[in-house]
Amino acid sequence: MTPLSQLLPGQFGKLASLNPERGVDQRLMALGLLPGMVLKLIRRAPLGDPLAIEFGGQVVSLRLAEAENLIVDVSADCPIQRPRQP
Amino acid sequence: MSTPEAGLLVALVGNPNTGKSTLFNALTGLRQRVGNYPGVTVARKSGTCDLGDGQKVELVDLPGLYSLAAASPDEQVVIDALSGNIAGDRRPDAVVLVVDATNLLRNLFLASQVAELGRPVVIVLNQADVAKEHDLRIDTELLSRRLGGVPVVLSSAWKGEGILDVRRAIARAIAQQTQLKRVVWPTNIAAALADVAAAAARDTGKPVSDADAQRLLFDTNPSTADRLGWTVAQREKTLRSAAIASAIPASTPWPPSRSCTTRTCASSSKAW
Repeated sequence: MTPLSQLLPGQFGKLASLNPERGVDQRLMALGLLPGMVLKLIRRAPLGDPLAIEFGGQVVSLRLAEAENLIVDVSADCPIQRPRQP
Repeated sequence: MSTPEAGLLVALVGNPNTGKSTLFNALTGLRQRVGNYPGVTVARKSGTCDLGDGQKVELVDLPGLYSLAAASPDEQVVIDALSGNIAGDRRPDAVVLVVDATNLLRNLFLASQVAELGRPVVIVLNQADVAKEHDLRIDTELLSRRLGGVPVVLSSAWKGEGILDVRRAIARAIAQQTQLKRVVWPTNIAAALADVAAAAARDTGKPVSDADAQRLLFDTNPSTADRLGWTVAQREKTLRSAAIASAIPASTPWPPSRSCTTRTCASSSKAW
């Protein structure tokens, strides 16, 4: 289990848990981010903050502090969910 | 704010940047400039929309939002408008849910919440031209069936495509009172919702809708409780009661049995 903030660009992780008491997490859940969903760290800003992450076919920018609170499982092996191609 | 005659009121809702304002302009014929600043729609914009059969309704364009759990004043406007809690404004007779056709998963989460309002719904899959470019094909009939028979139409408001279909779909939704399929809650959560609704109704002396009960149970944000006049102490006491505590553990961290998981299962069915 690793904080999302520690992923390398291009690395995937499966979200282990969210804390709905945190406003940011409620926001992310509204965007479709739920436990079990696969995230990808796209890149970091030059000073390491913020981060661009991808999930559910969208890219979202997160502060480093917010990403530190999201715990992911990097050993989980599954591709990122995208809109299904015909 | 004034309504020309006591005609029907139809509200446009959807995620930000799905094309609500562009669709609004296409439907009402108003020539307003639509900017691309997120959260552009803060004022109430309304116009008259012809449903293609001579019937005219008042159409109101609402700010974009991702969830009916309000996190900002403009989101609160949407919730209040949809539930008829804005002074001098009626509750909408139908809701047009504008969906970005390129990301149904995210957009249909809002649909699962709009379903709880119990209003006739039309789903407009906008930006269909972009979806086509992405080689996405959407089976609107299947989607309609899975969502309880509400009209589902494809449009590209920017190109002016599918606008007549949207008009007809609104007419059909009103005529047939098409309702979105609701989330079926696990029994413990359904029981907790009923308890919250009963307690809030008892404490405030006001009826509490299903949609309000969910906001009271699921949201940390107190806006719904404030509107109903349910005090923090009353709410806390209820949420700590035995039945509700068993449905939703008060402590975090959060096991995946909590409400939002079920909610999303229902809204992101494997159909897409």
